[in-house]
Formats: sequence, structure tokens, C-alpha cells
Amino acid sequence: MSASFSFLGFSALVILAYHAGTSAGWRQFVLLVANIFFLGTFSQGLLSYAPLGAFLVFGYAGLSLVARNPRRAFIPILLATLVSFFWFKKYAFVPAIVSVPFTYLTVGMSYILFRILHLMIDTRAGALRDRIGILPYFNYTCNFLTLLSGPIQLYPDYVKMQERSAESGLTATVVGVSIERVIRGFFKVNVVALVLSILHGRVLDALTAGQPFGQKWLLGVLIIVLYPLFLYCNFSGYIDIVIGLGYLFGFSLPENFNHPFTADNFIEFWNRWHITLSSWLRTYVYNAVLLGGMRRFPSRKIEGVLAVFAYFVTFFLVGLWHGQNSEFIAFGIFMGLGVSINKTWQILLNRQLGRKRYTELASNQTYLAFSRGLTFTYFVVTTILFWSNWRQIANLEMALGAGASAVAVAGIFFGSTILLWAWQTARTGIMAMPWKDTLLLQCWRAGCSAALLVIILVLSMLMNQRAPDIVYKAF
Amino acid sequence: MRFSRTFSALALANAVLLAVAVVSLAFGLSSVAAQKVHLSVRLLPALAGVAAPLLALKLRPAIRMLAASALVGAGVGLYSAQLVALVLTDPDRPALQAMEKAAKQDSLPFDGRTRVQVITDLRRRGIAAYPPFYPTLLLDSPLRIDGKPTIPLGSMANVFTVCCNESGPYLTYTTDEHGFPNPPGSWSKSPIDLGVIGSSQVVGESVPPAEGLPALLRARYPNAVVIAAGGNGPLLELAGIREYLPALKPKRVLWVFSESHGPEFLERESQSPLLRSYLDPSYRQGLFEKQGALDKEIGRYFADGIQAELRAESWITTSRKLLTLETIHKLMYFFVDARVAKSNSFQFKSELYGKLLREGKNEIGAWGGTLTLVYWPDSSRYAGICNYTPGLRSLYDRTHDSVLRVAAELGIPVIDLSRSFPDLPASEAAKNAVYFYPYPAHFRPAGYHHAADAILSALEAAP
Repeated sequence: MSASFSFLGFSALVILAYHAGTSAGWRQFVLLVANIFFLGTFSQGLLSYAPLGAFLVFGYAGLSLVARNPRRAFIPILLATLVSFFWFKKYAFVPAIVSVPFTYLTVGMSYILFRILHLMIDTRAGALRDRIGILPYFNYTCNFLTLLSGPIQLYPDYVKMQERSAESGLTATVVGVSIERVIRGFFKVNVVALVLSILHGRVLDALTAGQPFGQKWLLGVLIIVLYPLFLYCNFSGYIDIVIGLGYLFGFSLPENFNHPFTADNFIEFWNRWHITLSSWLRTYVYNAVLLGGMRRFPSRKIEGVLAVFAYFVTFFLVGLWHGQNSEFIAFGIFMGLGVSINKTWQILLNRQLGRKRYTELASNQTYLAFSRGLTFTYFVVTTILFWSNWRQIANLEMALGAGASAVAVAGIFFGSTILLWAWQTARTGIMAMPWKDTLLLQCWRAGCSAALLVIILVLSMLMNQRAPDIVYKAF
Repeated sequence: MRFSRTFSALALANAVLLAVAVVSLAFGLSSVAAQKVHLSVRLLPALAGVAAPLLALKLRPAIRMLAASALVGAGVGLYSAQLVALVLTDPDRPALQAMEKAAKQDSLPFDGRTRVQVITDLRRRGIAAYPPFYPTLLLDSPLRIDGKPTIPLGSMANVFTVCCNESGPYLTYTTDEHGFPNPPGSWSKSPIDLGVIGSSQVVGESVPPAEGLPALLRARYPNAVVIAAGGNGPLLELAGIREYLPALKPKRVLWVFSESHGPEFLERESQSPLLRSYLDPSYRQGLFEKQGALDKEIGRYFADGIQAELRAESWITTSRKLLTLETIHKLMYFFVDARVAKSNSFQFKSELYGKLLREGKNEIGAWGGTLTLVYWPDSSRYAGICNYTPGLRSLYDRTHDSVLRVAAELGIPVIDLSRSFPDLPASEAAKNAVYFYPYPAHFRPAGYHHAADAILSALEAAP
């Protein structure tokens, strides 16, 4: 049950129950029942919940120990939490002989890990002073809206969100905005992502070694570009749905995407793609590595090198988090290289040109257009490691050949440079338009939502094919 | 300035609301005029489409404008969905993929072209190819020959026919001198030891000719003659007996009852006054003597049909489909049809079937021939195969029992092929997959072999 009509129906029932009472106790209770029921929909027998349950209980016990004795308990508890996570998630380096000998549930475990680690680290640092009860702990770590694919919300924000929810009621505007967001998300997941995945499958089927060069490189472009676009619609669409449903609870969940393909460079790309994950890693990994390095090597001269290194480690972990095999290690290396090369470039250029001239260059539209194209190309090309294994990559390379592959990548670079420039210019133009006539804006939004809703309903019947499941559910 | 802009936007909103009401009214009226089945499915949305915009006209201007915007958006959405469906959904694609897979399993070549493409390609190479002739398509609008409405039972004489494709290659054959799928000269052979009456299964649709029922029966009865066409039901088959068999006087006649052509086909054929006339023992259209005239009329009919199919592939047709939301209409029809199938499954007209079976028996008995009924099962009666559902199975079981009861009452021996194939639970459906395709189709080559073996063994065992 994720981006489906049944998920919407379930959420609608929970929202009704949630608003049936106004006391904090009632609302916590409703969320508890909803979260347990939601987890129950993945049931493969009672035993299958044991590892997830043990992980949650261990997390809570560890958190209590860290709260009592932050100095001594923190490192062992942190390591034990990570080891148990790798063990339950069956990472490739964990010997098969020690794996749990029955089928069990790991749904949402990565996201739960991030929440538990954040609680432990901030408790140790003294940022979380109040003791967290077992019920808020469970509802925070296993919130049915954010369990499967995030967004990863920090606990203080979660508490604030609950408090604000108690104060705010459901207004026509909130309902309207929520429905609009849910429709947009549903459209992305169940129409656009479905169409893109069908097309991706078709172009992969269509590619053969004996095709003419002109056809081959074009297929190469489509093969490389379609999957990342699918991934964006699949993931950001799901996030739109949960954020939209969140509005109806009175929750304001954090945004996870902000037009990532219009990012001016690769560092900025990660500020716009899976924002809550990269922000979490920046807070708890990048800062820790950078500060640790600066303490160890307290020289201003190597600050830049340390920043590059910290970026590499952080985004290597981002890549690695996505999967447990060697393709994802390579994906992590490419992500780490992408941001660290980007950082090095910024530092060198800054040194070479000076701050003023560098700022001028960084705001030059032509420079930005090429930079955007390069960012997009780097991401879509390296994402091949995300959706295929080494054998498939070798087959793809064999079918395309070195020449067509190179032309395809060049085509993506120049094509995306032009298209993203046009898109960004149009977007800036539209945003600058005087949308003062709010009724006109509302009419436009109502029309768009109605159009998307009709397309969803008609195509979901016509296509006779279910949209692919949320990719990030697997992580 | 602002006032006039708001005023004109409001006027536009009112116009949109009125237009939606008018279009909905027209849709409702046209549905009534066209006597579409299940009016509730069309009339309720039409009524809602009339009432809602008219009620919206009473609302505050701002709400009215929002409602009109949503309606315009819904319209844009409908056309966008139609456009995507038109470009992306190829209804034939899954079937073609399944067929290609099955062809590989049966070591047969695969031809992904449409029939009209095959015919056009052959004609380009100088081969005068034609599609198969389906008499059932003329029930409502018979051809006119010598000023009389006529339903031919066979195709044009001696023409290369591209039938259909379910196994990988197209089934092709050259028709005999009366337009049936028999080797040339079949009608002048004597004595004819076996006459076979039926529909597509008897033609051998759609396996290579050597694997089809006619060839398999001819291996034992070389002088067997087939009088059959795809889509035939019991009344068209009786017509075949009356029109053609007296000229051949076969000693044995196999009348193949196709389970999937049961109640619904009998119902439809019984609505045709011309076919109902065959219940009168003296009625004949005189088709055997009119082959020259039939060739001319059927030739014209084919030419029109091929032109229509070629036109269907043009961009004009595609644009028309888009404008008239044809794919979405089809969807609506599909849902209506599905409901029809669920709620109103046709009752088998046992009495009528008994009457025409008696007519056939009497006709054949007149020259001393004997009639044997062959009960030909549909693959979907077996669990886990193709479109199997318990409901469909129950319908087939009822048809089966009715047909066998009627035959027993008339003393007609029956070769019941439904018992020849293993009736396995869905979990063991893979064992039956050797006989049947996983998509709606006739039997696989192994299925035809199995059926033919059962028929030949029964014929040999018969006195």
C-alpha cells in the first residue's frame, strides 16, 4: 500500500478519526493505531515483524542509555545500532551464515535508522533535553506517512508540527491545497512515471547491435535519460502525496525535492534532490568529518582540502545507502567524486579569479546553462549504476558501441543545456508574471487539477497496467 | 478595466457551463436515439452533465468561475488521456508478444504484420490474396444477389486466402470451387466418406495447414470435405448442410458444435429472418448453383472491406479517433459489455437447437448418411487457461449438458471432446498449456492433434 487508491482511502479514514477528537492523547492514539495497521498491511506472518520490532526496541533502549550516560554509552550503542542495521538489511559484507533464517520485514528500516541515529546523536549533544516517551518514539519513527520513503524529519520539527496541528483546523483552503498536491503526486507516480517506465522498457527492448548509428545513439540518449526522469516522478510524486495528505492532518512535512534538474551545479543538485537525506548527512556526517579534520589538522591552508574530503565521504555514503552491492559502491564513488570535484573547481576558480570575478562568472547565464547541462548529464549517466548491474551495463555498452555511447552522452549534454536553459527562462518568466489576480490563479489551479485528475482516472483504467512501486521503498 | 476583465471572465465561465450542459444533453439524446444498451451508464453521466452546470449557474460568480475552470480542465484532461492512450497503448501488443513467445515454443516462425498488410504485400508480389469470408458478419446486412438478400456460406472460389494468425505464421489456404478450405477437386471425388460441418475449428484456425483439423482428418479419410467458416453458429451450419451436402452425399457427417459459439451465437442467428427460414425443410438459398454470382458480390464486399481497413490506418482516421474520444468510448463500451456478460448470460435455446439438429439429421438421413455430433470445448473451460473464470465454466457446463441432452433425445451419437482433455485444477494448468494458448485463441497444434485422434478413434469404434 503506497501510492495507490487504497492508500488514499486508508489515509482518509485516519484523517477523519484524527479530527474526530481534539485532545493530544486521542490524536496520538489514532496515529498509533494507524501506524500499526499500516505496518500490518505488509504482513508475512507475525514472526516477520520480529527483526523490525527488535530494531525499534533496541533503538529505544539505546536512546534511554545514551540519555542516562551520554559519554560512555554513545559510541557502543551507535556501533551496535549500525551493526544490527547492516545485519538485518543483509549488506553484502555480512556473512550469509549469520543472517536471520526466516523471511522478515525491513520496510522503512533505513528511514527508521536515520531517525534513531538523529535522536541518539542529538541526545548525546544535549540538543534533545526532554525524555521521549515510548508512544511518541514509535509514532515518530514509524509514522505511516513517512515510513516508506521519508521525508526524514527531525524530532524537534516533528514535535512542533504536532503542536501546530493541534492549533490549526481544516479550512477549505487547506483541503483544496492538499487535494491539489495529492493529485499532482498521483499524476507523477501513476501516469508520468508509468509512461516513462514503459518507454524505458521499450527503448531497451528496441536496442540491438545491428542498428544504424543514427538510431543507436538516439536510443542511447533515451535509455540514459528516461530512467532518472522516471525515478524523479516516482519518488517526488510519492512525496507530494504524503505532504498533501499531511496538510489534512495539519502537518507540514519537510520538502524533499526542489526542481533538482535545474540545479546550477552538482552540490546544489544534492540540495534539491532527496533534500532531507542530504541535509541529514550534511548535519551528521559532513559537519562531523569536517570538524574532526579541522581539529586534527588545524591549518586554514588545508580547510579546502578537508571540505572536499568531507564532501566525498558524505556523498559516497549517499550512494552507498541506496544499495548493498558493488554497483552501488561505484555509484557512491561517482556521487562523492561529483560533489568533491565540484567543490575543488569552486575553490580553484575562486583562488584563480578572485571572489568578485568568480561571483560574476557564477552568475553568467551562458556559464550557468552549461553548468546545468553538465550537472544533469553527470547525474543521468552515473544513474545507470542505479538501475542496472555490471552485466547489463556491459551488454548495453556492447550494443551501443563506444562511438554511439560518446555521441549519446554529448547529445545529452548539449540537449539538456539548451532544454534546461529554455525551461529555466520560461519558469523565471512565468514566476515573474503579476499573478495578482488571485481568482485567476485559483481558476488556473482548479483547471489543472481537474485535468490531471481526469487523466489519472482514465489512464489508470485504459493502460490496464499498474505503475511501478515506489523505488525508494526498497532502501 | 478590472471590472470589465472580471465581467468577461464570468461571461466565459457561464458560456462554458452552458456548453457542457448542451454537450451532455446531446450525448444523452444521441445515446437514446442509437438505442445503446444499458442507458443508465450513459444517461446518468449525461443527466449529471446537464444538471451540475445549470445548478452551478446559480452559485456565486467566483465559485462559478472555479467550476467552469475545473470543467475546462476536465475536458483538456480527457483529450490528453485520449492522446496518450492513442500513442502509447497498443491493444494488440500484449497479444502479439504472447503469440511470439508461443510460436518460439512450438518452433514456428512469427509474423507480426496485420492481415491487411500481409494481403497488400502479397498483392504487390502479384498474388491475388483475399481475407477469409465470415458469413456471420452479414446477418444484419445480407448481400444482394439477383435482387434477393443472400447470406453466402463460403468465400470466393479458388482464391488464395490469408486467414488469421494465432500460432506465429498466418494460416493460408486456397479455397475450393465453392469457397471452402478443401483441396482443389474435392467436389468431384466419389464417394465422399466424411463431411465436416462447423466453424473456425473445422477450418483449422489458426495453426499451419498441416496441423489443422481438416488435414488431420484427411490423413485417415482422404475424401473428407469441410463446409465451415469462422464465426458460424448452429443455424449457419444447418444452412451449410442444406445447401452443399446433398451434392456430395457423404456417408458420415461430423457436425462440430463449438462450445464458445453456443447460446449467444444461436440467439443472434435466430434473429436473422433469412437464417430462420432454414427451419423449413424445403428452404434453400440455392448457393451451390450461384457460385459465379457469389464470387462477383463477395469480391466487391472484400474490396470495400480492404479499403476500409487501409483507411483505418491513415492519419485522418487517427485524428478522427482523437476528436471523437474513440478510445474512451471503447472503454465505456468495455465496461458496459462486461456488465452485460455478468448479469445477462444468454440462456441456451435447447428447443430451437433440438429443432435444427433434427432438421440436419433428417437432411443427412435422406441420402442414407449418418450424423455424429462433436462437442468441441473452449480452452477457457479449463482452470488456469486463458480467460477461465468459475462463472464461464459454469456457463459452459450448462451448455454442454443441454447439447448432450438434446442429442441424446434425438439419438445422435456424440464425440465429447471436453472429456478428452485433462480437467485439472488451476495449480496444474501448465500441463494443459501444451494444448492451449495462454491468450484467447483456438487450439495449439498439439491440441488439434489430440482432438483429431479422439475423433478418429471414436469414428473407428463406431459401428
